[in-house]
Amino acid sequence: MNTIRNSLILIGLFCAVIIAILLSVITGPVEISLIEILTGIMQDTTHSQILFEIRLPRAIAASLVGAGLACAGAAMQTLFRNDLADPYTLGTSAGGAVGVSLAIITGAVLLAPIAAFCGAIGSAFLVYLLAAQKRRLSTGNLLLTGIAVSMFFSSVVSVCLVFSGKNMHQIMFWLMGGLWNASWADIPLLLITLIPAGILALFSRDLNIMSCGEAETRTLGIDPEKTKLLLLAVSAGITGLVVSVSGSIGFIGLVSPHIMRIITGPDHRVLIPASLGCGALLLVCADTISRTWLGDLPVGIVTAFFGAPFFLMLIRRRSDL
Amino acid sequence: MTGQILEISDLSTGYDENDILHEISLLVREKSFIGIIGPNGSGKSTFMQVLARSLPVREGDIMLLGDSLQSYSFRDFGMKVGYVPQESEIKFKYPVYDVVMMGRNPHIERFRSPSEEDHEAVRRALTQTGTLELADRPITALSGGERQRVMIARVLAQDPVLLLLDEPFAHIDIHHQYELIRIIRETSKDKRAVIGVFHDINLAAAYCDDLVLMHDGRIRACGKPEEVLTTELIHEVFRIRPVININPITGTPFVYVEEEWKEPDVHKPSIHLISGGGTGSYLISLLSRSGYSLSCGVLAENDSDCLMARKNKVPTLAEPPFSRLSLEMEEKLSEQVQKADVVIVTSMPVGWGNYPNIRVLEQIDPKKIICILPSSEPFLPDFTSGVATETIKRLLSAGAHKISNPAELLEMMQSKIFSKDTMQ
Repeated sequence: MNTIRNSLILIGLFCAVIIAILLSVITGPVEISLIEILTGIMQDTTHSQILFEIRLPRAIAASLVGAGLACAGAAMQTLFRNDLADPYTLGTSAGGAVGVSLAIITGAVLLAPIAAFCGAIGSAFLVYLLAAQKRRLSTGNLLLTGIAVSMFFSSVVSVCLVFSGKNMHQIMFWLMGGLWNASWADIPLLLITLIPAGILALFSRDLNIMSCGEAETRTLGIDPEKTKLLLLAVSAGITGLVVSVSGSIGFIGLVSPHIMRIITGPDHRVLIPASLGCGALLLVCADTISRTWLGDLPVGIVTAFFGAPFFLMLIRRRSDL
Repeated sequence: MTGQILEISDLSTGYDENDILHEISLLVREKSFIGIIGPNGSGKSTFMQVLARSLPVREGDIMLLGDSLQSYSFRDFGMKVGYVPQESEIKFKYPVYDVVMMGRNPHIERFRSPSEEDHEAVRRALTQTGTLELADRPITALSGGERQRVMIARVLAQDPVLLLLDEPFAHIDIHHQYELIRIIRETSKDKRAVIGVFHDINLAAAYCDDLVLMHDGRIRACGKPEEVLTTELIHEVFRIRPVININPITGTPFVYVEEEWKEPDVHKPSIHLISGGGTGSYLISLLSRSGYSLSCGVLAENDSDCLMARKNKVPTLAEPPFSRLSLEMEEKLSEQVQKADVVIVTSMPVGWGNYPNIRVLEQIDPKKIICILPSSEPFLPDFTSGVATETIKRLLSAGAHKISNPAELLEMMQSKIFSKDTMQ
């Protein structure tokens, strides 16, 4: 019974994402009506260009970025056994942004995704090592370390870009995240993130057991250290690839798993794909809002606007912070 | 070596630089149920954590079924060893069924779903622990005891060769406690072994084949319950004055704990207690615990009062059962009651055999006699055709004190009448 319910939720989410992408494509500063699309958009070259070359790749990129951040967030919350962990709060996104900025200033723009990948993984392990004291990760320690590392990396990004002669708007892009640069060329890279997302899904049972407490993982057939390192690297890798396209966008990775945990329950076999769908849906919506009504504000500002109150609510609910 | 499940030799380890466990050696054979007891901080839980591989071995060896613990892959380890921690930390709403299914994880290949055999094992474990009706409930909605039963169901579903239980019965109500311990005990009979940390010494003594007494990170004693639960060892390790008796139902040792023990206090009046047939047991325990220097008698050798007095190391005059008091004994008694500051008489059964116990009281100052008797007649089961009762009445009318409740005794002892200064 639960299986049927969960399958329906997943199918529903998938349909919702498709619909959101379609709606996103027909909304924007330039009005393109549904009838126009149906009666043959091909005739009007400007409109068809806006639709196929700008809006569609951007909407698809938004969905994949959101999906990647959300499943990375879901895994990180379990790996750190912490409600407030996600690629943004732990500085993983900022690490990815540092990688990209270094690639830009050294002129190796083609290597930007790889640099972002390495930056994100490096940052994730840095936070992990700094925050872990005597085998115990306290929530306060982890978040403060994440914030400190994130702030440090953000300043590195700003310095790099300022000295390479970029303007404020481009710097904001990496710090707050945005999708106005997204094109079809980014889509294959973003599709690659579905592979590590699949790896996370394959480790669902391990994640379930790890979410139930550290003490019994070993007698339930799991090597917690090895699994933790592997899955942390996978999540950070997803984050790095995503950041190389979109800059660091906050709160999608934090909020999506929480929403889906309420709806589907904590089982990662459902939670990972569901968070993926939820993240895609949220970011497509946020990007459409920013693009249509907010003068293409960095989408990270929109997600922060809605996400930060949610974050505060989670903090207030915790007692051990 | 057949039948050997775990062999621990010279194990030392700890969380930081300092070792918590020191030179632990233990052999666990199949079909054994071992209980680990010891005061808080003695290293019981740490020991379990090492066995569950949560804490690495620093020195020494742990061999599981002939191979070093470290040489096992975690999957193989999970098929051999199951662990129930002190408290489950699950804070997510997993259904009970899924939690128990986690126990099957070592048996399920990574890319497979649980097989029918796995579902069967889960259902069996749920039924055994009486949690089948909870199967669809979220684990977070259960009470502490129900949760603990689910954790035990999980380890049963896991079907390991060695079960590690860290105070598994702490929150479980008494009915389920005995049921579960019986299930676990049966499990241990099937070529397996169980090691459990117990807070409740008597529970451990009743059900475990062997006890391991831990103290300051070392094994202080190890063996059958009656070998480990001795007054000396319990006093040394737990810093209490225990009274060790035999559990009438299981025949195993049973430890009573004296909450507070005071050494005899010379400033308190000395008391001689005349009782019998169990009427004085409570008083013996109460008075010796409260620091009065006490003597008893004359009692029959097998009387429960006599056994209690011996356990509390109270000097006691005793005669063989059902015999008349010898003249020699009567003289000793007379001497004793003269010497005592207070003499207490209980509502004991009196026959011709022990009547001299009462008769002797007519020789002393009645003011130092306290009779603990029912508020109305008959004062005591009298088998002397009323002679004993008459004697008691004479004593009372001559000024002996009478109370009807042992609880009033300490109050009376502390009052002015019996304070040592006024008596001398």
